[in-house]
Amino acid sequence: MGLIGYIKKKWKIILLCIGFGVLGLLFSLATAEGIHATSGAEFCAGCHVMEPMVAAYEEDVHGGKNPHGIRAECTDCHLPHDSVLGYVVAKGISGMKDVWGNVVKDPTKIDWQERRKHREHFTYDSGCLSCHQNLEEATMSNMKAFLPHRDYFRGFTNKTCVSCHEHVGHKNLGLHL
Amino acid sequence: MKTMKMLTICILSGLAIGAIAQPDVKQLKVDKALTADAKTCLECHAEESPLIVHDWKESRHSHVGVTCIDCHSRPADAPTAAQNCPGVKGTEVYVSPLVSPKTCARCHEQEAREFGESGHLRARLQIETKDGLQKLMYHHEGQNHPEFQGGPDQTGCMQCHGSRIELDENKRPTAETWPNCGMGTIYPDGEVGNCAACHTRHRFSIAEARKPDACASCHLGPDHPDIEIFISSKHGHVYQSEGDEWTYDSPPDAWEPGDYRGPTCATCHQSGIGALKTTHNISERLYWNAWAKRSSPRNSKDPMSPLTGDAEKGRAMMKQVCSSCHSSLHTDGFFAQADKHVNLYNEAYYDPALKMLNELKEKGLLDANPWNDEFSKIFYHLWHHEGRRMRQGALMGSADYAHWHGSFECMQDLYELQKIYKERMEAAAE
Repeated sequence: MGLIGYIKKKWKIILLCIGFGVLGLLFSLATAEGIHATSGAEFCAGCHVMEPMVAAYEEDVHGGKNPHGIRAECTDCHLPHDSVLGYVVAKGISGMKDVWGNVVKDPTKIDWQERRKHREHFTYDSGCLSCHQNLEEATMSNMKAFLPHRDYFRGFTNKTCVSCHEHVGHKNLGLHL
Repeated sequence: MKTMKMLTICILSGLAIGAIAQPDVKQLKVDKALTADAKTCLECHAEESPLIVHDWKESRHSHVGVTCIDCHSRPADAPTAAQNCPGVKGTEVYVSPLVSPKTCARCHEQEAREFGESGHLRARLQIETKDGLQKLMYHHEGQNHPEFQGGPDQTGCMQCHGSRIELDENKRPTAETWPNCGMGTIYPDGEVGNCAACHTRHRFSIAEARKPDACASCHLGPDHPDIEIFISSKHGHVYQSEGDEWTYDSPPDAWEPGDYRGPTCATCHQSGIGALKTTHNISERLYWNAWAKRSSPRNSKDPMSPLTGDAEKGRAMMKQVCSSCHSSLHTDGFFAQADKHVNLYNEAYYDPALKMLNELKEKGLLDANPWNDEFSKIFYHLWHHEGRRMRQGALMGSADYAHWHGSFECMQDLYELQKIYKERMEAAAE
């Protein structure tokens, strides 16, 4: 029995496999598209309460105000980048929280200035470091950046990126809130 | 006439030489790894405030490229962000003269954290909560004067304790709250502390803060004469004789005997001597609270508590400091003597004095104004001046302060208090 015979005999199973493969691919693509479509400023600003954050983001280097026009998406900083699973789970949870907060609760009652003091809770160093990959080596060439970043990478401090870079991502947010 | 001529020539040539020796307007061109904004600040301030820039040039900050703008720039939405400096007006750069420990902590994280765990943190916060002290400053010392009652606080208390800095409409610190170089300064962003209290701006020198002079501008005088106690101790004797030959700029943790032949304040209370680690928590190596009305061993993790610290651990650490130079026999004997004197103050002076005070208070035999009542005044001096000298003199090895300025005067106070107490009680009984 050659290959043709084999296909003739098992064609149902083979078709099923291909079908599932295609379905899986389509599902993955749709998921990826969905995740991508719900990661940027355009989507996040869909809720009015996020408008000041997006306005401040658009004035910031991370929001595209740089010579190359490159932008970091909201989720690049506001979701963990340790693993795909962790990313997706955190996205699901924070997404549901956002829906709950905007639909059931009154988001206008949130004291955003107060929340800024807890910025470490809303950002992830793994996000920063997935773009700033060579920071550890790069700081050697910049003496004033060397000391604080050395302490960070050697684990001498519990600070996160935004502890020191407290306004990163949203320039002069206080003026927009 | 001839003499006059000669004199004139002498004076004129002197002036001419002086004029030549005077440097031109300071010029400074620095390019290494600095942004255009950073260079603008430096070069302009080299002309406008040459000594500040000279200080910076002599500092370690200049070596690593930390310049004016790294510490003084603010995001536009910060409470202190201002453009009063004509050099930045209309630009995207906002600056403030006020630099809180939060800024220093961006690079010196550990130092700032340890400071925040120390008793130094409450320097200002503590006096704000004490009604009696506020009344002393404004009502009594300030005489409730409509215009000038702030004088005692502004020229006195807050210069060491720090102020709660307020800003005017141009976001400049007000004259009621600044300048001061107080330890517990509270900044408009809510940050507390002042690194420049010991490492004065703009040199921020490690060597400076290791010398007793750094502590002396606050820890002096009748109520806590710590610099006088140090100078009159054997440690001060050695320091006074040869301290100008010692090395003060060794790196943290590596400043050891050999760099010096005797300790300064920083050696015992902060340095990484021997196996100890350098700390900016000046409460860490203490057993007693030696300034409260009655001394107790330290037992609180809260820097806002007067008993912040861990007495047993602190004593063990301090003994470890001593062990770099002294035998355990010497060290144990020293603390046995000192503890005895602290306990003597507690039990023989403070407790009986307090008992009399409470009885007089209960019977209404004290004037409502404590600063105009003989008993209250002496009671205050007993614990706040003489009693602290007695305890701190003993704990830091000054015989003169432990005894003549300390226990002797406490004894005199106590006898005076007993006399007044007796008179008042007898008069009330009649």
